[in-house]
This record gives sequence, structure tokens and C-alpha cells, in this order.
Amino acid sequence: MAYQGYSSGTADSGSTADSNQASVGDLARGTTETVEVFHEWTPQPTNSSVERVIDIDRFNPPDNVRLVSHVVADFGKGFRSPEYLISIRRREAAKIAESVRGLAEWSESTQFQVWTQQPFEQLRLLIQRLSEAEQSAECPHEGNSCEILRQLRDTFLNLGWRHYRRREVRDCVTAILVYLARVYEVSSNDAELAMDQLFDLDMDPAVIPQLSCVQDDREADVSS
Amino acid sequence: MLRENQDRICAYFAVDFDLRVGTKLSAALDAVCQARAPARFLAGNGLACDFQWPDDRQHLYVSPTRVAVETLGLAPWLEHLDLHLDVISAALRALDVTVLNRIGFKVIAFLPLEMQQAEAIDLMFGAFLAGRELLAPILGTVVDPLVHVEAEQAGFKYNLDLTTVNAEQASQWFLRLPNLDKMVKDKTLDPGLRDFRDRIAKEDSFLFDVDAWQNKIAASDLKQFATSAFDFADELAGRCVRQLHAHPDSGFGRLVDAMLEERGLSGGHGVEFPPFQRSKPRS
Repeated sequence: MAYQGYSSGTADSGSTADSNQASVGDLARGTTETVEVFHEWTPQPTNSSVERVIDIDRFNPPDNVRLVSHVVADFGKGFRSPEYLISIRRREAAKIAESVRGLAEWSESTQFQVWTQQPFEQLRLLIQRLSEAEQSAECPHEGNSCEILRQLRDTFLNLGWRHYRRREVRDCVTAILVYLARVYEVSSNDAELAMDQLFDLDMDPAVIPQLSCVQDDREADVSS
Repeated sequence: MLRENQDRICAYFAVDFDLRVGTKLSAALDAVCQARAPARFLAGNGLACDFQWPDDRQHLYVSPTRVAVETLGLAPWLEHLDLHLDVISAALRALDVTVLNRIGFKVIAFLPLEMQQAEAIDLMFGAFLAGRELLAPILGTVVDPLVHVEAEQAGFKYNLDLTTVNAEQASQWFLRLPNLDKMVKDKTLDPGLRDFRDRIAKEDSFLFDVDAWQNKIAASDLKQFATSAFDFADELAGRCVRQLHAHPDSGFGRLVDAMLEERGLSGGHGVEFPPFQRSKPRS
């Protein structure tokens, strides 16, 4: 059956101009030319601009140019319903839990860091997906889920991946992810409990990027 | 799941049997009239007849090979279940039918998902279909999937159609259903039909269409089938919606349950999740 809903989130954002009504102008009115510009709002909008060159009849130039700008917002409505985001969080959290559980097989490997890349990347993508949806949502949701996911992501940073060699760490992180895969709503208390659990295991769930004076100096040199 | 959405559902119950013609068919029509006086009667083409109760949003169809009841909304079926079965039984007795070739229960439900169609479509991949990335090289960009399944479960054979519909599609789908005019006084003017259409066309929804049946059933087992078939359809609808939502009770949920049980962390469904608790104060 025909698809009549919003198109997928991969639709390109940007603008298009349509000047079909603008090439000749309305001879009856004589002097008005219309230019229409369409701006499509997508779930992941990007900055863009549109430019059109309109040929003007030098022998009969318009007195007025009417510019009509259409903002097509239908696409932007997609992929941010709270129910949808909850489903995505549940589904992806279960997948990440499985990835973390799978680390057990490689816990003694010298290349263990490589195997931690999968759950780390999954966490990063899920955070990105939920955060982007929340930014354009009318009301905030999944913020607490994102907070827990960020905590888990940060446990991999600053050599934190080494902790995942320990079974109790994997079990704890798996349990947190399973919790995210089960519950309908995640509370701020849950986020706090998750952080406590991770601290208890001597992990660092709140990594702050280290400022480097050398890097700052280099940037200063470049800018100067 | 179905009980909570009774006013977004059409139900159809039918029994099929070997051909009956002649005086037995006449006796069946007479038995139906005696069991329940029709508000309206329609003699169709051939030997089939239709008994209608527009105020109750239901009609009964009698033909030489089938007796069927159809209702607009689930309540007219559930609330008058015993009456429906009594009337069907009376017809079957008059037709001298003891073994049913097929007995089936069909439900068409427009279930609200509280999300937009595009989002629900996205969830269909992974829940009921392979991922988009697997299908894309073969099918290109799939924009609106319809899942059709023929399966057996819990003693029922069933055909299941699942898809997502936006408001306009839901309206079109509903208005294309046959026999709507037999369950209302006037298809073009009836407010109940319009209200039903407006209700399902208010938002994007999940279309759940299941036809569950059994073969070679004794005519005396009507009630047992009717109740168990409804329970089966209700359970199946709930599972399908939960699967779409990736709820723990199914799909990925089974995965994490298995993981928990493997570690002795949970007893399974319905058990509170134990390890996510504060163990000691944070310093």
C-alpha cells in the first residue's frame, strides 16, 4: 500500500527553489514576479543556503518581486516521539548489554582494547541518537537514560577499558544496561544509583577532558 | 491488548461445514429467527441469508456451507457471546452439523502506538523484519513494509498481517472492509461508523489482522473455541506490540532475561531487578 507518512530520517535537509511562476511574470498584472523557496526541516538539520538567478525580461521588467519562503516542517516531526525513543533505548541497550557480556571471551586477550571498541561505539551512537532527538523535542525525555549511557561511555575512557577485564565490572555494566532495556522510564535516582555502582567498582563514570597547556599554546600560535 | 482497544476492532467468527441444502437450510433460517428475532433481514444472491441488528453493530450470515457473525467493535461480540453462540448452535442443530470443517475467529485491530508511522516503520525492522541494511541491496529503500505470516501456535493455525498505517491509510483500510453496511442502519449516514472511522484516523496506528482457526472441531466445542481463540488473539496482539516496543516480555527482552537467569540474577518475567541498588555511600 502506498506510503503516506513522513519519509525516513535520512532525507537530505536543505533548500530548493522553484521559480516556475517566476520566469515570465503575470502579464495581466504586468509587473509582479514570484519566487518560491522551500526549506525542508529534517530530524538532523544541517546548515545550507539556496541561491537562484532569475532572468529578468529587460524589455518588460517587473515592478515587484514576491519572495515566498516555505518551511516544510513535516519531516522534522519524525523520529522523536517519546514512545519511539523509549523503544530505541530498550532495544539498543539490550544489544549493548550483549556486547559487554561478550567481552568475557576476550578478557585475557592482549588485544582486549580492540574488543571494547564495539560496546563503546554502540554507546556513543545511542547517546547521539537520543540526544539529537531530545534537542528538537517539545518536552525533554530520555535525559536520564542519556546520563547513564554517558557514565558507561566514560568508563571506557582514560584506560578505563582495562576494568572490563574483571567479571564483576562486566556484570555490573550489563545489569545497568539490562535495566535500561527493561524499564519504561528512567529516573534521576536511577542515574545516581548507576554512578554509585560504577564508583564502587573503582571506575570513573564522569571523565572530564584534560586541558593541555601545550595544546592551548599551539592553538594560540595557529590563531596568531 | 485487544480488550483495552475494543472500539478500534472488528471481529468475525465463522464456522464452515459440508454443504447443506434443502429443508435443512430452511430449518436453520427458521431456527435463527426463533433464537433471536432479526431487526433486519437480507436475502442475498443464491441461498445465503443475512440477519442484521444494526443497533447492536452486528450481523449473522447463514449459507449452505457457513454460519458467521461479524461485529463492529469488540464489545458487541464479547458482551453477546453466549447469545451469538446459542444462535449459531441452533442453526447448526437445524443443519444437522456435528463436525465443523473449520472454525475461525478473525480480528482486525487498529492499535494506537503513540508514535508516528515513520517511527513505527523503523521499529518494524529488527522486530519483525531483517534490518534495513540487509534488505537494501535486494529491495532498495523499503518505506512501508507489510508482514504476512502463516503459522501455528497454541493449537491454532493462523494468518497474521502486521503493518503500520497513518491516519489516512487507516481510514481507507477501514472503509474498504466488506459488510460494514450490514452492521449499521445506513453506511453513508450512520454516526457510529463515522465515529469509528474518526477514532482510528485520529493518529497513526499499528494494524493487527489475525485469522485463527482450527479444523475438524465438534460443533459442541463452539464456546471453548470462541473463548480460547479470543485469548489467543489478545495475547498475540500484546506480544506483537511489545515486540515492536522491544519490551522485555518478548524479543530482545527474552535475550536479557536469559542473560539474567544465566547469572542467577533474576527469576524471569515479573521479578524486580535486584542488582541495581545502592551498595554503599559514595565518598
